[in-house]
Amino acid sequence: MNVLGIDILTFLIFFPIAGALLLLILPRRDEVTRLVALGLATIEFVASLPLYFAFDTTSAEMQFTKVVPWIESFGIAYRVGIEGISLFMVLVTTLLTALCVLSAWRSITDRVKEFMMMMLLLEAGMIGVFCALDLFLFYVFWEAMLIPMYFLIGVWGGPRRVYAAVKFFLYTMLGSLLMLVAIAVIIWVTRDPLGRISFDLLALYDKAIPRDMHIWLFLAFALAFAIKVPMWPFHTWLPDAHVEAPTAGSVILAGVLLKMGTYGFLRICLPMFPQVTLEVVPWMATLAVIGIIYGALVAMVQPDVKKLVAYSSVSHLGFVMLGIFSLNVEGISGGIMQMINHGLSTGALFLLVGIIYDRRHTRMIADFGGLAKVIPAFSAVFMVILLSSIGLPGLNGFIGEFLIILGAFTSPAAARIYAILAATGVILAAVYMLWMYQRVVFGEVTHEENRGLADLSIREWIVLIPIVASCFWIGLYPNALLSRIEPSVKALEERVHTRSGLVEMMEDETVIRVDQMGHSSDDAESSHQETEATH
Amino acid sequence: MTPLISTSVNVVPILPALVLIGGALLVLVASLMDRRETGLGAGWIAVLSSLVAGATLLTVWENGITSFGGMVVSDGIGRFFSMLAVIVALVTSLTSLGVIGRWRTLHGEYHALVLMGAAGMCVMVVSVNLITLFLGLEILSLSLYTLTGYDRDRPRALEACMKYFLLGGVTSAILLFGIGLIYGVTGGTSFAALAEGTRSASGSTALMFYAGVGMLIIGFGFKIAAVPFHMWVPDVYQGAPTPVTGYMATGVKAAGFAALLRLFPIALDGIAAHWMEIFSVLAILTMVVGNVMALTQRDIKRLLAYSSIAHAGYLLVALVAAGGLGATDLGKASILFYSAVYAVTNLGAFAALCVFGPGREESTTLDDFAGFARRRPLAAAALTVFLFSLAGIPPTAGFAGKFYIFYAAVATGHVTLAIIGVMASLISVYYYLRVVIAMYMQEPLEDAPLGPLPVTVGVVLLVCVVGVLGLGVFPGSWMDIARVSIGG
Repeated sequence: MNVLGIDILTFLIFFPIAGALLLLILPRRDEVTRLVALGLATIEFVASLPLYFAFDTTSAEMQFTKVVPWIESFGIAYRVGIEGISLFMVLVTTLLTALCVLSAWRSITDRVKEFMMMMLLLEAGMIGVFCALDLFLFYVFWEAMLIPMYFLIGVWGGPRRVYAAVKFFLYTMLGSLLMLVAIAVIIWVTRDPLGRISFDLLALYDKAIPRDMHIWLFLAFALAFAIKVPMWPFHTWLPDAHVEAPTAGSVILAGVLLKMGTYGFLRICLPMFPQVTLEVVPWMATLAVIGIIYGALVAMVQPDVKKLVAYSSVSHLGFVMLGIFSLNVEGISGGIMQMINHGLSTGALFLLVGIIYDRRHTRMIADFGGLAKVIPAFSAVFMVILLSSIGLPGLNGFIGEFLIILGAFTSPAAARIYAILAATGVILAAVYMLWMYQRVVFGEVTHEENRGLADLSIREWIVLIPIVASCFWIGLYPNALLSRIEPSVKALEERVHTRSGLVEMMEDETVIRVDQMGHSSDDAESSHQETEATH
Repeated sequence: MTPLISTSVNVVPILPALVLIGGALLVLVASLMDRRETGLGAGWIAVLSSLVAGATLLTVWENGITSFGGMVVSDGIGRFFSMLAVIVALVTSLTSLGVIGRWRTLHGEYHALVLMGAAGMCVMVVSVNLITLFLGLEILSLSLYTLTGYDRDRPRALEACMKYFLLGGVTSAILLFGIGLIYGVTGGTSFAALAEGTRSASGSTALMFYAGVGMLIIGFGFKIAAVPFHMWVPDVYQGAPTPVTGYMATGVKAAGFAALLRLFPIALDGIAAHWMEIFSVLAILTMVVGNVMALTQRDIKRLLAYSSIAHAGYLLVALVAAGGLGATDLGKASILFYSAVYAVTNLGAFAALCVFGPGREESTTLDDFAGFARRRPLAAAALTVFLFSLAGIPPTAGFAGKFYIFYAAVATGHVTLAIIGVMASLISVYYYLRVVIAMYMQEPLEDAPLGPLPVTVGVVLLVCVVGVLGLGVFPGSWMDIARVSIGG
């Protein structure tokens, strides 16, 4: 499928970059810049819609693929494609970016041009990560995307923006640099007998990597992804970054960036190291459950609405991780659903916090109260989004959480206690969200300043309606998503379960290969016997 | 490989050096006739000479010529690094044109010395004999000592000059002593004799021989600024005129690594196990100390000085990966590629420090650069690109270079070195970001309008940004050139 003669994914990745360059040469007129940026982001979103309609729901294969040789001596190519796991991540990215550009209309007044350029570059980086099917390309997008986000937080953020931006940058770099070494190791050990190497991710799934390396490689990738998710105890950058970032930055951070971590687990860790994946399920599930409960408890006591939403992300992403490491179709599908849902509902929560902050320049719960009487429309939308975040049936959040808990409960790999503990997280979510809502929206108007607040403007309605509509649509007709997600998830689940058996068989081969390389035959024989004994 | 002993004299290997020396003489004569104070004429002749030298490398040069009794050789490595030396000289001349106008010292000599230094580099990188190598090194060093103290009105420049001269002199003596010891054992000074020495030396002669090799390591360790031979770097880099600092950071390092590449992985491959251990330790020390010391610097020139120490560490990792039995061409090629990446990036970075214009070229503290993005948006953006490249973040050249080096390290079994390397570069991200923070996230401390950006500096910035992004996004063909250059 093509857009303007370019294949659609390539168009989606590079159109924002071209747009950013266009903004660069435009004169510095803020109104013009905003309009052009909005136009570009809208074109990008509209151009991404055909992905949904033309998506083949019967196939688990990569779709819309494109391969262009890049660094040939290293076997690196520009390989892109999407399947059920990445499809909606791309759509959420294009939708949220367009909405963010619109939401920043009034709140960003300093260096508007640079802001919009950073938003567009960020969009390109994120779409690149979700589409990349080449390990090198994946890493390039993964890292390059840090730069615009760093500037978004550091230049347009709150009072402690510099601290938050640097912390965000260093934390992410820590993980990804170890991932870089792991990539180098994988590429080296999977070279063919002629010494040729390849970064083709899909081909790497099936290549033999010496078994004793699996755990280390898995850990290197898992650390990079766990920091991004963020899993407890790697989450400490998140409250700072979310709170200090401007509204648009927080929306993108929560809506898309965190999903890059969970997506990384699905795209690399699970299919590449299936056996280690099975082994670490108790660890990952434990960390996920700690994240769910810890995030919820910390969210409960936050006096700052934005910080509350930030910690709720830790909790929600814990659900996603639990779903993924249930290693069954229900759990993984639920995890992906929850990635989408969290993107929409938490994105919207940050937008709502931003709307109220623009009016009052405070986000403290104690500064509000009785908003329902003053700004009823805002309060109503807030309620819908909140219920979606809690997981009320009929709205999007319910499907994801239900599938995750179902998956964890029936999982062959994880114990049932995880599902039970996770379910308490759902209750805690209701507690901290509704309690916050009660203090902010219900009751008497406690602060005189709040009496004169203006309700949602037309621009803000336009920002919020697509998200609210999506929440209802997914909640009432989840099959629209699940039918596209499931084939890929089934394929992934089968791969994990069959390959983890396969890897054990390959151990024998590795031993044979090692003794060919000059181990004394005695050694080889005894180690061979050992492996046989373990079977 | 052509025979090492040859009686014919073919000037091709040293042709670039000859062109540069000729250019230097022309600059001197021209500056005698040009009575104006600006020194523009001399500068443009220097630029032209570099261009001609570059053109000879692309046209007249042919590989495989051994000349001057086997003392110099024209091969891919020589061509690659000669080209780099010429580019470094060209960019330095261009940058200098924008900033040295106000000095009351003569400008002709300055540009002549830049060319002479580059000629020294060109001799170094084609040498396969310790004597010619030393000769090239001294031409380079003497030019640099003078250039460092060229702005003689500034006490800091004089201090740097003295420090560099004294320490450099001692190091040259050590180096020469090492060469003497090696000569005493092997009876020759060619690199082939060196390789022979690893086989023939035994007993007491072995001690002399290895002491000589050790002195070579010390001598070149000083030139490339490896820890613990790095003490001079921060003061000298800070004191020297900014364009000279860029010249020093890129050219000397590249030439030094060209020599190390010829000496160790190629000539002394027989005893690789020994020097690989030494260089591993030096690499770790250099990466860690360089990056940690840079953390607290408030002067960007000093910060970049420590960063250049750290980058010598990454290159040492590549040197380790280039030696020994498991070595492939990757390690050697990655030295070439990284030297080029590093040169383009740092030439740009130091040129960006000159943008305050004549008279302000030593305003290089973080406070001077506070809010710089508001005052000079394009120059700030360029410096940001260079800093991200130094930090090794895609899609810049620095990432491609680092990936190449660390991949070479992993592929030769040096995973630990690679891990230490990436962790050290994580530290480096912090201090590079400090500069970006100052430029973008702080408000200017002074409102005084800046003079116009010197045109030549602007050109250098543009070319280097294009180079950094080009090498970063499409590194493939340049990696291939590096690989072909080392004969793989």
